[in-house]
Amino acid sequence: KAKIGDNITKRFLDLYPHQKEETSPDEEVQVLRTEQIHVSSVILASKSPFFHKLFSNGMQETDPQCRVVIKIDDSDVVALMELLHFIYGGKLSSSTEGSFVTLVDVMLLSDKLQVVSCIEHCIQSL
Amino acid sequence: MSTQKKRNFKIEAFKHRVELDPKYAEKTWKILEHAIEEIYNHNASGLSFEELYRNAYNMVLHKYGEKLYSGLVTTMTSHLKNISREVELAQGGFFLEELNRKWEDHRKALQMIRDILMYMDRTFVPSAQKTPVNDLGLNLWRDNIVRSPKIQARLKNTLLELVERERTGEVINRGLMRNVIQMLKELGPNVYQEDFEKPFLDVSADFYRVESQKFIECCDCGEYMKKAERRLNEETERVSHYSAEASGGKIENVVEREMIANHMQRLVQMENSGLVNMLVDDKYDDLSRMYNLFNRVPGGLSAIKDVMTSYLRETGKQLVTDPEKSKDPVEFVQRLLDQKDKYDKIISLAFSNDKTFQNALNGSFEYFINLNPRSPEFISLFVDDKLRKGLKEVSEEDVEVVLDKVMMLFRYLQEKDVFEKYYKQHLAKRLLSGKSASDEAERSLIVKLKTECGYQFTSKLEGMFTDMRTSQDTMQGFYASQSSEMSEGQPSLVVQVLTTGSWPTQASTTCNLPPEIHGVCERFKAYYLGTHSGRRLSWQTSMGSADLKAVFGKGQKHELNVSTYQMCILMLFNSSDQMSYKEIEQATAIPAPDLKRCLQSLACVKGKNVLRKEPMSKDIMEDDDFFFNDRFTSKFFKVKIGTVAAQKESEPEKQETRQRVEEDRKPQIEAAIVRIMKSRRVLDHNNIVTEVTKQLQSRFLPNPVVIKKRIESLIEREFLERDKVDRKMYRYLA
Repeated sequence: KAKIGDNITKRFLDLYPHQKEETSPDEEVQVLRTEQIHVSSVILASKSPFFHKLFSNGMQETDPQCRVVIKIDDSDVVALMELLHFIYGGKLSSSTEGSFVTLVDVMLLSDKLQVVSCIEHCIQSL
Repeated sequence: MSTQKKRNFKIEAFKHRVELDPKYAEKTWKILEHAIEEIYNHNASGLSFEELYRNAYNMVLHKYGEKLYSGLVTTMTSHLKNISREVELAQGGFFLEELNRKWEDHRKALQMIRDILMYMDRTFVPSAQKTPVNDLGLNLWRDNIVRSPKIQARLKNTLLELVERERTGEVINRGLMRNVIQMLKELGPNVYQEDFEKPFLDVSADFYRVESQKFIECCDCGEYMKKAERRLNEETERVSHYSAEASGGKIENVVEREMIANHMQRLVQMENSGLVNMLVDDKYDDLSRMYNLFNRVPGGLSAIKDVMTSYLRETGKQLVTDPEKSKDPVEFVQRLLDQKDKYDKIISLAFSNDKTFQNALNGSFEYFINLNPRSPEFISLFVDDKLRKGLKEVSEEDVEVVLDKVMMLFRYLQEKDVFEKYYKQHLAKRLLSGKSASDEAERSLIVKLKTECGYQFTSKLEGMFTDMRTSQDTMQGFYASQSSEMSEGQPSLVVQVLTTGSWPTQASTTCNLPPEIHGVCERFKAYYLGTHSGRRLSWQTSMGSADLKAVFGKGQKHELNVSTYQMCILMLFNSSDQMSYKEIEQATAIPAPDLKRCLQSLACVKGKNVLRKEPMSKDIMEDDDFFFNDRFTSKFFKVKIGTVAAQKESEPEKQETRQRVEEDRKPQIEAAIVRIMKSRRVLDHNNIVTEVTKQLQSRFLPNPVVIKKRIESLIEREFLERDKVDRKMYRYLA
């Protein structure tokens, strides 16, 4: 329906998975690879205060032309994709639902990005 | 919540095993501190939100929340101290603008800082019981800027000076004012109240104290009210422009207190322009303004009401007690009605139909109407004037309106029984002389009286109407039965049979009827007693009227409309042209005062003098002679002589009516006493008096002395007895 809206809200997320070294400042972290995904900023913002502020608070990511970089732990890539899945569809994949470890990962990531509905969902599933 | 949940699972340990770089926290904080600097320097668009958020998140996750938080406090504080110095340096008028600009910056920066520290705000702050970042930012602003010693007083004075300048007519930058006040409000109700509202109200009170003093010295009441109203509106508007609505009520209170409450009495009683003058001149706008303004302060309305009431009572008292003004009863009542209309209009137009004012108005009328004992009589006369036929052409609706108004006055009467007495007399005269203009209007008033005072009050009045109707039927019956014996040229008789008791009692004075009439009367009597056995008929010759056909000297024919007595006199002149007073008196046997009055109207009124008197004089003497005036002329064919119009009673008549009223009250008071004692059995004197008064006040206000006499009389007749022990107690004897 809302074509214009789609154009405005369509954003690229560049995922920069890296080694588990989040205790080090950025420059010391080794980026393993880059993945690019298309997302709707409106949908993400509606579920996550993190994304809401990311797209609106006036820093560089607010610029619609800017490619948004998310640096995450390599082991969290699956969890992030699951979380995005949840944000769009309101549920997790059946493989995640069956995996205790993945569920915990998704929940911790939800906590970081403040997706309250997903935290609750994970607690339910656990 | 999520924090707690997470902790319940304690999964951190196995997931995030940490080999801590000892410099990790310091390094990370440097990044954030730098970011905060950049934000304050308007360079935020070059920062990566994701990076800063992630760093702040990691610090909290690795238990460096405290370091992060205290670092924030230190950085922000030092930054604000710099700002404070810059603001202090601002010169004169730029001070407020600079403060406002810095405030805008700070708010934007604070917003961003809060966003990147969002995770800390959500997890660390509640668990460590710290102040959330936003509030922290506001508190630091408050302590380092707004309440810094060099700024606090200056800010307050600047604001107050702007208000003062605006009050004296200057144009100020309201937008700036609004922003700064908005800032104070955001810093918390405490800051707003202490740093702006309280001093603002104090200064305003001083300002209006001085101003109202100035105004009251040089303005009249109406002008002052206008100024006060304008000031009130200005203040209301001002606070809304300043976005200080929270103080709206308070500043209004200040203005109300200083400009109205403190000068209330002086305003109301202001000479030549105060309330009384407004009332006199029907200044609805001024009155309405006064009502609305005074309504805002405690005791304001009662101040208006008291002055209005005492003025009303004073003028009302003058109106009803001035002997000049009570000469013409109709005018007297009309004046009362006009007065009532005037104040009704004022109350409805200016006092928003306030119930308490209506009550005050009613109370005042009740007070002064009853000051004149003749009010009941006059009101009845007024009604008589309105209901009598042929005086003026008024539509039925108009009559209704007038009657409704009269009923209003009637309600104020304490002696309703006196009114009833007079009303009965006047109604009787109207009915018997056929002068009643409209049956409908008569009945309408009776219905009104009935709803007001109950069935008992009007039963006799209604009886009078019934008599009139029955009499019509009787007359038809009479003429039907007499048709064979009636011949042309015989006088036709119309009889109204009145039930004794329903009609006002009149001393039954008889006179000698002319033989022509006497015959018809006798026939009617025979007919009536034939159909109604066991009744007694007596002729009330003093109340009748007659139409006579007369031919004068040059053949001019006239129809004379006269009273029965006058008819008897005139009939005598059929047989002779001259008669002395003595002869007339002997022949007619009319009581002397009535006879004199009749002769006067026959012989001494110009244009109606069908008789001639010798000697010519105004008054009738016992040795006067009367002649048939064959030179009588009149433009009209019908000549009406000596109408039996209702008139104000003369002094002795008044006394008599009064006496009759008092007489009638006795049984009513006794009945009330017996009713009360029957249900109470035992009661003391004072209570009986109160109860009797209460029972009877819809009809009249019984005098306690009279009640006491009635009680004594009842004791004599053994309805009651005094208690043997307590002499003040009465006991009912069944």
